Amino acid sequence: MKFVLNGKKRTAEAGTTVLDAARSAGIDIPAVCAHDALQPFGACRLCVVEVRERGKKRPRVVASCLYPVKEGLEVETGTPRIVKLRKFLLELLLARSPGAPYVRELAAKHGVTKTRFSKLNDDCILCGLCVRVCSEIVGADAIGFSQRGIGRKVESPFGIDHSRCIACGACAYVCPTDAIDMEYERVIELRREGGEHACRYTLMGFLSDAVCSLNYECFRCEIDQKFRSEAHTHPMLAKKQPRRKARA
Amino acid sequence: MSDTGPVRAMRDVLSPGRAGAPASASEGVSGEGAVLRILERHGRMASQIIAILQDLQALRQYLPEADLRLVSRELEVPLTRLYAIATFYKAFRLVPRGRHEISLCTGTACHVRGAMRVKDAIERGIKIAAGGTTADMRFSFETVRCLGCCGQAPVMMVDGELVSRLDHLTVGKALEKYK
Repeated sequence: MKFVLNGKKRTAEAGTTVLDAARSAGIDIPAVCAHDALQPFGACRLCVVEVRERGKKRPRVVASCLYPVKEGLEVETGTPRIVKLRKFLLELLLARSPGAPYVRELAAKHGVTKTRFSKLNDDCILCGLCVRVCSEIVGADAIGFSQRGIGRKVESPFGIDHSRCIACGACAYVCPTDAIDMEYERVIELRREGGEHACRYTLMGFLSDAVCSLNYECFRCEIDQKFRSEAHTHPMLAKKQPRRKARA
Repeated sequence: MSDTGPVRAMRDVLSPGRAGAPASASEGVSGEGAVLRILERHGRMASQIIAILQDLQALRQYLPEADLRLVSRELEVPLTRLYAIATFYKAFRLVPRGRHEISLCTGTACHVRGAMRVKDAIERGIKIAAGGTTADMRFSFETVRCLGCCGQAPVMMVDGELVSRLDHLTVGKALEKYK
């Protein structure tokens, strides 16, 4: 599929998103909620670009992570309009999570160091990475969004239900702002409740029928150390599954 | 969403027994049959989830946690998803209704005439926040946008009956007659 990216002619396979196409062309588009192993979500909106479809007069602003490349599409990733929008979004993020180094660095990278909005001090930026990892990759569906608008937050059903959590830690690993803490004491308690439970690596499909011999103290686990040091990723994500569907 | 091997295996671990035959509509603890009948009526389709939750709420007056768990198990829809839907839409409630329902208008006219002070007074008086139900099930209290009689502002409805020209000093007295 032929399209134009920042004035240069490019080709990409049908179904590729504009974000992926731009990144493979070496163009940096900031995106917080996009992750290679997960379905696109369109929460952070930082990946906005201007696109002009064939035969259309005006360019439109779209989220590139959700927008598929089309024949004859003209994409601009750094117009003044886009830069302005991005800065505005970063100001909003900065107001929400002024304490998160990740947000501060990202904003500073785009020249945003101050925000005109009142500060909230919530490290969670609602990017939904944890929710999607838990659902799409882990398959546990232990956490999800609740409420809406300004009350929106990530939590387990009824606030306290943890029955589906396997304490794999993928959510904490994938969280860009470190808003999720693993409560190891509670994890251990959870696992000890009602006799012996399978090791989380068993639940993830790495081992068969293993019951933890380390008292569920994952920080002592060899598999864990190995993944961290060799694969530089969380085991659940190292086992990346080909689940990314081409979008029509 | 397609399931790959380990994920599928883990789902079985997490909810054992789900692979078996679905429970028949007649058995089960009290009221479970009625919930299952709702599911049957909608063809047990996860895509009908909002209609199912609406019917469930019509049956129970609210969405009890136990019923949501049942729906989640039967339709293989994660409880997180149901909880997200139930908290997203204002039409769904997760707490039971009290014997008397108070709907306080916080629309523009009522707001200007002190509805927020009335709200505070009610909240202090019955000791629950808007959206809740008192522990003795006497009152449910919620705020609404406009009741359409701004000339009487500020107003509230108690059990469908209009109480108008409220103020924060006398609203407590107005609620006394509802036992």
